[in-house]
Amino acid sequence: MKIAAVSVRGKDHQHSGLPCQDYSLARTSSDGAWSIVVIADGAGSAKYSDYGAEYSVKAFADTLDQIACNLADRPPGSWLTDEVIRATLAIRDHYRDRLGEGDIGQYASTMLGALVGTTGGFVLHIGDGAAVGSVTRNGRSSIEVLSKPENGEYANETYFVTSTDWLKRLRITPLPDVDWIVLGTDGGTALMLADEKSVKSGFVDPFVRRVSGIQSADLEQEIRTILSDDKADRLTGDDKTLAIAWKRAHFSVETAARVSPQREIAADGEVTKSQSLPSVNRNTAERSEESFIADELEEHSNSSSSWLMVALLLAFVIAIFAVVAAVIYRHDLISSFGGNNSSERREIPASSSAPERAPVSPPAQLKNTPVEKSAESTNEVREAAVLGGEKPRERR
Amino acid sequence: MTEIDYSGNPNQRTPCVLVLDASGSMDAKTSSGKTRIQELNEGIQALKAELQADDTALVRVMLSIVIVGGPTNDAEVLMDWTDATQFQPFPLRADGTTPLGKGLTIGLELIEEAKADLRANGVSHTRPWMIVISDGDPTDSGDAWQNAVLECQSAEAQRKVEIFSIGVDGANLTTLGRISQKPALSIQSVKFRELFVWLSASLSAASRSRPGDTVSLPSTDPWRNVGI
Repeated sequence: MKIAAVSVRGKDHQHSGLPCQDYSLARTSSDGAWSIVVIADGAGSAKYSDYGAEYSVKAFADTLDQIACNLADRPPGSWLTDEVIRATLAIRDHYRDRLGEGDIGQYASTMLGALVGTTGGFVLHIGDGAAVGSVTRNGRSSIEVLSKPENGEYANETYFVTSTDWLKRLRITPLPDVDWIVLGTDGGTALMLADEKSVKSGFVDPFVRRVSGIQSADLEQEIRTILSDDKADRLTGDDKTLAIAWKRAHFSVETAARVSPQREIAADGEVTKSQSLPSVNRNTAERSEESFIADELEEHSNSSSSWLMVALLLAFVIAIFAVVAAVIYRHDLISSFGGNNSSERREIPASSSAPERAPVSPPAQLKNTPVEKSAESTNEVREAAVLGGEKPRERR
Repeated sequence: MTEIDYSGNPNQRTPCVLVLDASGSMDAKTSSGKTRIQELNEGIQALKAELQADDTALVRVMLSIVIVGGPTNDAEVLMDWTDATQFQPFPLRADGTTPLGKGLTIGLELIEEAKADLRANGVSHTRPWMIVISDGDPTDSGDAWQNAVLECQSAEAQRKVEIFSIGVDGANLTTLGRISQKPALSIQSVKFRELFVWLSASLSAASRSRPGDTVSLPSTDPWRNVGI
């Protein structure tokens, strides 16, 4: 599944010479089954908040990874919440250790992280910034705020990992059925939220569609371009972070059913679609054909259908051997069926008429025809293999 | 493919109410030759100019003015909440007494109205400020002054508002200082322009401030009084 997280320094910090105080990270869990995205926004005047943002993001990412591995053996439960609390305590202790004495508020940063998998997931959140996602209910999907910003009463206040009342401000929210989620720090939410409860679909929808069409390798650069746009700077001079994780490939269940599985096989075996894809009029992502195929191939190498490919390859090889063997022993097969009518029948050397003999290279007279015949048969076999391999798969 | 829409977000607001003394004593001449009220008017013009030179502050700062004294010899709203983009100050005239207590009460009411309005429209805001400028003692009758002081102290303690009290040219700083946790500032009226330039810069910083930023408050530098 594609994931990406990008932070860019805002105009305000560029002018004041402060570093980017946002930090973000996106990766797959160690067992490959979950997506992990974690972002943080360091408090403006806190001396070490850029360190705090980076440290806490990495620490929470490791915790989410451990939780992911645990989820392979046990269902989610209160143990999961406790893990998150334990991780936060450990981070706060780390800051205390570094300081000796002094206020850990110097490392203050908000926290927003998500674990996303095919069977569910959750968001952990302290402070502002927000998580939004394309939520599917009863076959319909809409973009919703999954975890909203918490600023307290004033826009220039919020809660941090280092706040005294962090535990009351920690929110852990299980994910509903989502196609994708986007996380943003408050620089990001300036772009994607109309207010704390509603999404600005004029930004989020085109944003997701645009990045859906991008190869994984170029995804970060694309997001960086979007965040660095002058128009984004005019909205806010703050540091900006956006992170995205897809739970499933880019077609909803409903759309996949509308796409015909018929494909045309060109003479050289290349696959082309026999009809163009219907336009997606919902909030799920829409992609170009080329990137779809490219990503399908990419998923091939990553997914368990690589086993299918190995099996097909073996079948193909066996089939080739079978065909070659059948051609070599063709005259035996034909005579066993009692037919002598083939015009292509050659003179059988007396030595080869015995029913049991060790396989030898065919007599010179037979050399041409086997090649022709096996070429045809090979094409048939290959087509069958390709057809079999390209059956429409369940979209994950 | 639809273009990404970067527009249309309501900017967070930084509300600030000015409670200004326009009593008769503001007609006194200062060392510059101008009257206190003239210096005050010029200061307010400077505030407008500074704000309009700052793109971010321009769309975020909102101002209102309560006049204390003046031709009506009362305390009343001179200018209701106005975005900085539309701020058009007109000159104050000095006259009458100083019903400062009433002026403060009106100021606090204005702030609550602004917050309710912003909340109703889903617009976030920084903590509102109230700037109080006076050159003399309050002349409210009865308990108006006492009640106002208690209201101010309570509002600030509940973090509803940030109050800055500024005493001009020998005003009673102890009295003025009671309305806020911070001690009253003392300035010479010739320095109104500087004060308002500082105010604009502070409002600008507040309008940009992110969670965790501390906005620097005016210092109580005793040397502020020195200089001619």
